[in-house]
Amino acid sequence: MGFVRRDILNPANALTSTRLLVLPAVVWAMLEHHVVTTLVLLIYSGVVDLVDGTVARHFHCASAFGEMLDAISDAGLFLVTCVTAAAAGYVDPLPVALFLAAGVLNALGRIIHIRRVGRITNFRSYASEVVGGTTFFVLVALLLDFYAETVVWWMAALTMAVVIHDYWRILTLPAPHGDSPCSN
Amino acid sequence: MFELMAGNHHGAGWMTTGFAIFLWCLLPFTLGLYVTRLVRDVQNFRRADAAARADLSDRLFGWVIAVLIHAGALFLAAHRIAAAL
Repeated sequence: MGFVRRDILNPANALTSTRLLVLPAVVWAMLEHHVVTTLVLLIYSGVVDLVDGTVARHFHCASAFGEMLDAISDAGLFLVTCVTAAAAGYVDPLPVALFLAAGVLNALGRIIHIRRVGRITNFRSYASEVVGGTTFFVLVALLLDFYAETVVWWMAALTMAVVIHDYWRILTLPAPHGDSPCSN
Repeated sequence: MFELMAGNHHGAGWMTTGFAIFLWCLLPFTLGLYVTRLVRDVQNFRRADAAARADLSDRLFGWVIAVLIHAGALFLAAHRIAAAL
């Protein structure tokens, strides 16, 4: 029981969960077109995303729950910001819908991978990590009207290419016994 | 020019130009990193056996996607800066 509490209630997860807490403020700031406030909140979320792993290692509290919370925070920020951007008129809803649909297909591919492997594990893809790494910049581009439509169409197309590539690997390569390293 | 510097439809034109400058300060370095990885893994791919090529092809695809993203972002940033000058 203590281990479970330690897995959930620890400094790293407390820090990560603040990324979820700022989401309502992001929505409000975007709807009110408070660009600087939104930018500050996005930068806060990005910085926390960068340091929460280091905090987890420092306090020896890295856990599967923490990884899941981090992934949920990433997805939540991305989903909420994109939908709000479309709703508030920052960008055309069609490319945003395609971009999000590519993200959903990506998540489904990982579920298929888990079913093939027979245990809960993350499907690692270099291309997927590259696209994921651009999330912050895409959100800032939407917020600042930095060729927002072009950026989202471009990222939707590239994400779709990555999804097709990952599905091909998931469905054709032998089920791995461990995750491929993706650290460099 | 004034519109590009002083405001877009969110009133954030100078920040948009600043973001473009920020991208040109950051992305050339990371682009160099990915091009280096691409060249290295192409060379490794030529020497690798079939098993290693599966992982290397995934890496190569990732680096190509990264280079495409960088090229697109740098082009748009250059367009923005040029329009603001």
